[in-house]
Amino acid sequence: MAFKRLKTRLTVTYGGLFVVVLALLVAATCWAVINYATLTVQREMSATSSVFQRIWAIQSETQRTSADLLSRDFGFKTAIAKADQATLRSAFENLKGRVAVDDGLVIDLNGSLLVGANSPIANQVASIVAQDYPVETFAGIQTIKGQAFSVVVAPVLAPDPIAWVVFASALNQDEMGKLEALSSIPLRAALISKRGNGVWMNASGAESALDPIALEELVLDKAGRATIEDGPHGQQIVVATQLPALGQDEVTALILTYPLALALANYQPLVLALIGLGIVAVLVLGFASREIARGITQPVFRLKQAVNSLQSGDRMLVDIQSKDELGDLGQAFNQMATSIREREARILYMARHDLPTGLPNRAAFEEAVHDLMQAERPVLLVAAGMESFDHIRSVWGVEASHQLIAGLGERLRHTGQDWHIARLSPSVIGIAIGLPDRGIGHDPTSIPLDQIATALATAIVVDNKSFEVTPALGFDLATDPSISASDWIERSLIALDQAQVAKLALMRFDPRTYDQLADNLKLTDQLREALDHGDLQAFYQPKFNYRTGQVTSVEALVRWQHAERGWVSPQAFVLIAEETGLIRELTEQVLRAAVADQKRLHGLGYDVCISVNYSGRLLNDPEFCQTALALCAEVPNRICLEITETAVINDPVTGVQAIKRFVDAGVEISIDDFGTGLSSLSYLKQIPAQELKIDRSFVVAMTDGNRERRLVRSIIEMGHGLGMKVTAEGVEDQAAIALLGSMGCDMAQGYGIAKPMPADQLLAFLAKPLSMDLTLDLEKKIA
Amino acid sequence: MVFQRTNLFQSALWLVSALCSWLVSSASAIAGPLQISVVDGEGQAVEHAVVSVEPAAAVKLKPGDLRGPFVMSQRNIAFEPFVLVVPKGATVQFPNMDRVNHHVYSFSPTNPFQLPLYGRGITRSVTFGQAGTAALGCNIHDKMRAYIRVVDTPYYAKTDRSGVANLVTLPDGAATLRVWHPAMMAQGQEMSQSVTTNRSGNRVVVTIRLRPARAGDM
Ligand SMILES: [Cu+2]
Repeated sequence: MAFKRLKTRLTVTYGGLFVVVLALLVAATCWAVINYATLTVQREMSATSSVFQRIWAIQSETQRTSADLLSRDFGFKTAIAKADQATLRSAFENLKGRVAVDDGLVIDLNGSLLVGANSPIANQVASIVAQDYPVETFAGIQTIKGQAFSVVVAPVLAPDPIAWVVFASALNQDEMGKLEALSSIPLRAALISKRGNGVWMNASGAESALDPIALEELVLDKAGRATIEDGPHGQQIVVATQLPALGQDEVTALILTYPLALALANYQPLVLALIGLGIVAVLVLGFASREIARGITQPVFRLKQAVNSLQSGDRMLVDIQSKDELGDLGQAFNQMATSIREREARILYMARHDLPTGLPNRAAFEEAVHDLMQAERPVLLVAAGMESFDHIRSVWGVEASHQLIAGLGERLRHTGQDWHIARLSPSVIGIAIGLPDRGIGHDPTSIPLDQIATALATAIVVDNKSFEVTPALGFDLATDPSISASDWIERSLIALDQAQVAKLALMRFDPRTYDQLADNLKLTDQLREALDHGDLQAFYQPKFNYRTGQVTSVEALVRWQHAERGWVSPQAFVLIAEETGLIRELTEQVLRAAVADQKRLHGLGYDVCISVNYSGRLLNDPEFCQTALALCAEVPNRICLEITETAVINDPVTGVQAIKRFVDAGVEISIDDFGTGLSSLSYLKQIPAQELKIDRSFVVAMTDGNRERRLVRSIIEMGHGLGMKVTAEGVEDQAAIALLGSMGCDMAQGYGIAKPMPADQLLAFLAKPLSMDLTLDLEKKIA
Repeated sequence: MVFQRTNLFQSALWLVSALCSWLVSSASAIAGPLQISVVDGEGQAVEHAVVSVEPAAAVKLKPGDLRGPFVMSQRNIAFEPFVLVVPKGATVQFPNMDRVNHHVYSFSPTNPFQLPLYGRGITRSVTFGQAGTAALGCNIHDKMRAYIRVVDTPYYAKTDRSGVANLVTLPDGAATLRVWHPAMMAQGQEMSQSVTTNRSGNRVVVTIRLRPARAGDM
C-alpha cells in the first residue's frame, strides 16, 4: 500500500496490525474457552458416565448374587433335573421377591422357559442364552421393544449347565432421570442400542437423531472423548459409553448430551468482556497510534518547513522539545542551520571586506556609494593614497603596513561618524561622504577634506613605532546618478593618480588630465610600434671643450617623428619608456646607433666621444648591462654612459658594481642632471665617474644672481675635487659660455653651442671650424 | 486292553490322517484293529473323547466285559479320571481319598444318582444300567466335575493326550462308530458314523466341534 502521508501510514499500519493481533487473540481465546467448556463438560460427563456404570454394576451385582445363589441351590438344581415345576417355581419366586427385580426367568438347555414364559423379555433372552450356552454368570444391557433392561444370566450347573436363571430390571427414563440428577450439570442421559448393522435406536424405539457415523465413532472410542454434534436444539456436546450387551449382535451405549450453548453460557460474559475490551483497545490504539504518528510526523513536518525556509534564505530554527532521536535531529538541524548561517555570514564578510584590515573592500564601497547616491545628494568621494606605503611595507613588513591602514581607517571612522571607509588597494583608502544638499554658499567639500588630510597626516603608532604618512587625496563630487558608483570611485582614484603625478597633496578629478593620461596609453602603443620599426632616431648635441676649443664629444639624444603627432617630446616618451620597460629596447637602439655613428666618425678621422643616456633601472639589469658592454666594446673608449645621480640610490651595491664593470671595460661614466636628485655625497663619492654634468636649471639660473653663480662654481670645484670633468648643460648664450669658462668648467653643452642634430649634420658641423668668444662681458651680463 | 503299534506308525499318523479322513466319511471297509484319532476344528488332538464301535450284528455284553474294576475316585477335591467309560451294567466304585466329605451326584436323565456325604476311605458304588452319559458333580464342591460314559458295546476306548484311541479286537463287518466328548457341540455331545471293520485294520480320523474350554476341564 502506498500512503501519501507518513501519519496515515503509521496509523493504518500499527492500528491494522493491532486489530489483526487482537482478532487472533479473541479468536484464540474463544476457541480456548469453547475447548475448556467442552472439556469441563466432557469431564463431568465422563464422571457421570462412570457413576452410571458404577450404579449399574452395583445393581447388576445384587441381581448376580441372587441369581448365583439360586442357581447353586441344590434343591433348585434337583427340581430342575427332575422337572419338578412346582418346586422350581416356588423356589424361584421365593428368591425373586427378595431381590426386587422386575423380571425373572428360568431357561432350560433347549431354550424353553421353565419360569416366566409370559415375561416380555422371555423369548429374546431365552434364544440368546440357549445359543450362547453360558457357563458363567454374566450381566448385560438388553433392549427389548425399545425398553432397556439390565439383565443377569446365571447358569444352573450340575455340573454342566442344565438351565439358566435370568433376572432383569428395566432401565426406564426414571432411572435416567436419577442419573441426570446425580450430575452437577443439567445433562441429558439416554440409552441407545443397535442390533447387527441396524440403526441406532433410542429408548423410545425411534431412530436416534444423532449422526450415526459420529455415534459409531463415539461408542467405539474407549477414551470416552466428547464431540460436538448438531442436535435438534442446536449444537450439543456428546459423550457415549458402550455398555456390556447381553447378546453378541447388540450394542448398547449410554449417551450423555449437553447443549453447547449452555456450556458456553458461563463463559459468555467473559467472551463478551473480551470482545468489548478488544473494541475499546482498538479505539484506544487507533487514537494512540494517530497521536504517536502525529508525534513523529509533526516534528518531521516542522523540519521540512525549516528546510524550506533555510532554502529560501530565511532564518528558521525548529523547536522540537522531545528528547528522542527526533529531538536530536531537530538540534542537529538547528546546529547545521546556524553553522550554514555563520559560514554564509563569513563568506559574505569575506566578499565585502579586506581581510587583513577588516575594512570594507571595493565591492562593499561601491554598494555604499550606490546607496548614498540613491538619496539624490552629492557624494564626496575621496581616494587617499599613502605616499610612503611601499617604503613602509618593504622596511617594516606587510603586517605593519596592514595595521597602519587599519589604524588609519579606524581613525577616519571616528573622524566622520557617517563616513563610509574602505580599502580600495593596498595603499589607498576610499572615503565616501554624503554631503548636505546643493545650494549652500561655500564649498561643502573643504571641511571634510581638511578633516581627512589632518586625520591621515597625524602620526600613528603601530607596533610601538610611530609612523607618519604623507597622504595624497584625489577626490570628486559625485552628483550625476547616471554615472555608476564604480565609475565615480574610479574618478577619485584617477584624481589620486593625478595628484601623485603632480606631487600635490590634494587634487580634484580633472577630465583633461585624465584625457592626457588616456593619450599616454595610446602613445605607449605607438612607441612600441616605433621601436619595432626603428622609427626612433639618434640626434647628437655637441659639447664644447674649453681646453681644446673644439667639440671633443657629443651627447646622443633620441628623437621620434611620428606620422600624426610630428616630433614627440622626448620627456614624454622617455618617461613612458621608463615606466613600461620599453627603455631597454630604446636604450639599445640608441646605443647601437651611437656605436654605428661612432664607427663612421672614427672612420672619417674624428675623435669624438659619444655619450648615451643610460637609465638607472638598466644598471640593475645584468643581462642588459652585458649587451651594452658588448656594444661599447666595438668602439673602445669612445662611448660614455650618462647616468643620473639617483640611478644607484635604489640598489647602490648592484648599481656601483655595474658602473665599475663599465669603467673597467673602458667606458666612460658621466653623472647626469647633477643637482636635481638631492642625493647625498656619500653616494656620489662611490660612483667612479669621469664626468659630472651640471643640471641645466642651475646653469640657466646663473643669470639670476651671484648666489646662483657661486653655486655653479662650487659644483664645478666639487667635481674637480672628486677628480671629474665638469660639463654644464643648458648653455644657451655666449655670456654663459664665457662665464662657465671663467669658472673653470671643462665643457659646455646647449643651444649656445649647437642644437641636437642628425649624424649627417653633425659631420658637417664638425667639418666647419668652431669659433667661440670666451670674453666675459660682465656689463652685458648684468644688464 | 491297549495294543501298542510301532512308533513309526504313530509318527506317521499326522501326515496321513488328513488324507484318510475322506475315506472315513465314505464309510469304506476297514481292518480289524482300528485306530481313531479325534481332532477339533483347528486340527488339535482332543483328549477325553470316548470312541465306541457297535457292530451291525447285535453283540451281547458278556459278564466278563463287566468285570472291571471301574473306579471314579475323588482325590484332591477332584474326580479322577475326568472321563470314565464303562459298558452298560457295569458297577463303578467311588472311593473318597480326600479328608473332606463329598456329595457326588448326577442329574443325567439316563443315570441319575446321589451319593450323599461320605467321608475318607469310604467307597460307594453305582451300577450304570443305562447307556448314556452321567455328568458327575459334588454338591459341596462346585468345581468338581467328571463324566461317566456308559456304552452298550464291548468295543470302546478313550483318546489319550495325542487324541488317539485304539480298538484292537473288532469283529469284521459293518458297524457304527460313536464318538463322545463332554464339550462336543452336538446333541448328547456325541456323533456317530458307519464303519466296516476287517482284519487288516484301519485308521480313522474324526473331527469334532467343541465348546470353549471351561474351568475344570481336564
Ligand atoms: Cu465334594
